[in-house]
Amino acid sequence: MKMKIHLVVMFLVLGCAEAPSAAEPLIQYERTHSQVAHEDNTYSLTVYDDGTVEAHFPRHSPQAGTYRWTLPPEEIRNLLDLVAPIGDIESESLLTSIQTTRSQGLIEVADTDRVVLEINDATRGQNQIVVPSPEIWQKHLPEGHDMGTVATIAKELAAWMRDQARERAQ
Amino acid sequence: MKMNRFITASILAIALASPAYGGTFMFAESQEDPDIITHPIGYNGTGETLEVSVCIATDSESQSELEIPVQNAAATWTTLQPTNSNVTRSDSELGPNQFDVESVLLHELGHCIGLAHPNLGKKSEPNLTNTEQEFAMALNGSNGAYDLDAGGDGIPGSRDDVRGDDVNLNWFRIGKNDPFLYESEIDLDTYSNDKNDLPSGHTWIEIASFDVSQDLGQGSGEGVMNQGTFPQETQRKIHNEDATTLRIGMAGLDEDQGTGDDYGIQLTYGGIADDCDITIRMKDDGFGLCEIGGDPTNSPHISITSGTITLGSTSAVNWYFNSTLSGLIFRDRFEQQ
Repeated sequence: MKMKIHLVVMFLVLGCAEAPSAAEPLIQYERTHSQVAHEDNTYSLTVYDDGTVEAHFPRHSPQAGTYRWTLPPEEIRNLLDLVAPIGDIESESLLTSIQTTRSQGLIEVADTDRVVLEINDATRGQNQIVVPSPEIWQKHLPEGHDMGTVATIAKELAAWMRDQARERAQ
Repeated sequence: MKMNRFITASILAIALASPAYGGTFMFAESQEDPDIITHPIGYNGTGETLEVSVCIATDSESQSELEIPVQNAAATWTTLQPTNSNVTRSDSELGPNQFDVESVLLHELGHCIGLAHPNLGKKSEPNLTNTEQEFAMALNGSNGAYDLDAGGDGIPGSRDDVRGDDVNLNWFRIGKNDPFLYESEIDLDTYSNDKNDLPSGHTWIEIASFDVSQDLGQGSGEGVMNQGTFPQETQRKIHNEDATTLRIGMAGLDEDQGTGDDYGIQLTYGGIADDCDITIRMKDDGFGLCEIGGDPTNSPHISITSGTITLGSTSAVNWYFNSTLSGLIFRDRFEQQ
C-alpha cells in the first residue's frame, strides 16, 4: 500500500515537470529545409489555446530567432479558419498521390522540404499532415487536389509569421 | 562545330586524366530499380556533345545577382575537373549565417542532369536524424525499414556499415569500393551496384561523405551530390564521386566506355529566359530543389525531359551571391572568356 502511494506521487511530479504551462497547441506549422545540414534548419509556428504564439526562424533566415507574443481571440479564430481544411485531409492520401505521380508520371523532385501542418481544435477537428514541399507537388497534381489546399495554407502561415516577426523586430 | 569537337575532346581528355567514382541516379529510388541510369536532356542514344541550356526565369527574384553563380556552376559541370578536396567550411568570404548560392546551384544542377544523393538525406518519412541521413542511399528492403548500423568505426556511409536487407543504390568500383580513386575506364565493366562485387571484408558501399573523407585522410571533401550543406560553407568544385557517376551515364546505353553512343555534356548559359532545358527560379519559402521529368523509352536508361530549379527567396534565406566569374564560361552556344 505504501509503495502504491509513492508511485502515485511520483507520477504526479513527473506529469507536472513535463507540462510547465497548461496551454495546448491549437495550430502548428513547420518547414524544414532538408538541404541544410545544420540542426537549426526548421521554421516553426505554434499557436496555443491561451493566445500565446511562438515562432522560430532558423539562423540562416533574415528573421533569425524565436519570437513570442499574444494574439486576441478573433485573430486566433481567423488562423483556425485558415487551417481548418486540413482537418479533412489525410496525409497518407497525399503521399500516395505523390508516389503515383513519381512512378507513373516519371516526375522526380530532389531536396524537398519537410512540411508539417497540425490542427487541434474541439470544433474544427484534429489532424496532422506531413508532406514534402506541397507548393511543388501541387503543380504536378490535378487542379482542386488537396495538395493545393495544403500548399496555400502553408504559404499563408509562412507569410503571416514572417510579417509578424518583421513587425516585432522594428 | 570544329570548336565543339575540340572542346568535347578536351573535356574527355581532362575527364580521363583526373580522378572520379560512384553515386546514384535520379529515378532509381522512386522506381525502386537500382539499375536505372539517368541521362541529361537530349540524350537519345547517339554519341555527341549534349548542349543543355540553363536560364534564369523571367519571373525570378535576384536575376542579376544570380547570373554569375549560375554561369560558374554550369561551367563547373561542363569542364568536369573533379577533386577530392572541394569543401571550405567557415569560409571567410561568407557571413556566419549565409549560404553560398553557387554551391547550392552546383548541387541542384547535378540533380537536373541526372545525379541523385549518394546518402539517404532528409526524407518526409521516416524523419531520419542528422546522423542517420549520412548512411548510403538504399531502398529499405523487405522489412520496410532502413537498417542503419554504422559498424565498428561508428561512421555512417563507410565500408563496414551493416545494412541488413537494405537494397544498395550506389555504384562503386568493382573489387575496390574506394570512393577516392579515379579510374581511366568508368563504365559497367569497372563499376557495379551489386554487393557481391565488394572486396573481401567490406560489408557495404562506401560514399564520399565529409566524415568518411576526414577519417580516411582524404582532406576536406565531399560529393557535391551528398545532401546536406552548412552555413558559411563553399563547395564550388565537383568531387571525384560526382564526376564518376556522371561518366557512368556518359558511357551511353551500351554501358561501355569508348563506343559510339558515348556522350559529353556542355551546360550553356542562356540568360534571363523561360525556354531553356533547365530553368532556375528564386521565389517562395523553400531552400533549393530540382524537379525533373523523365522518358523511359530506353529503360532502364531514362532521359530527362525537363528540369526546373527553385531556390528560396531572399526573404527566406540569407544567400551569398558570388560576384567573380570563373574561367571557362559557356554562354548561349559557346564563348570562352
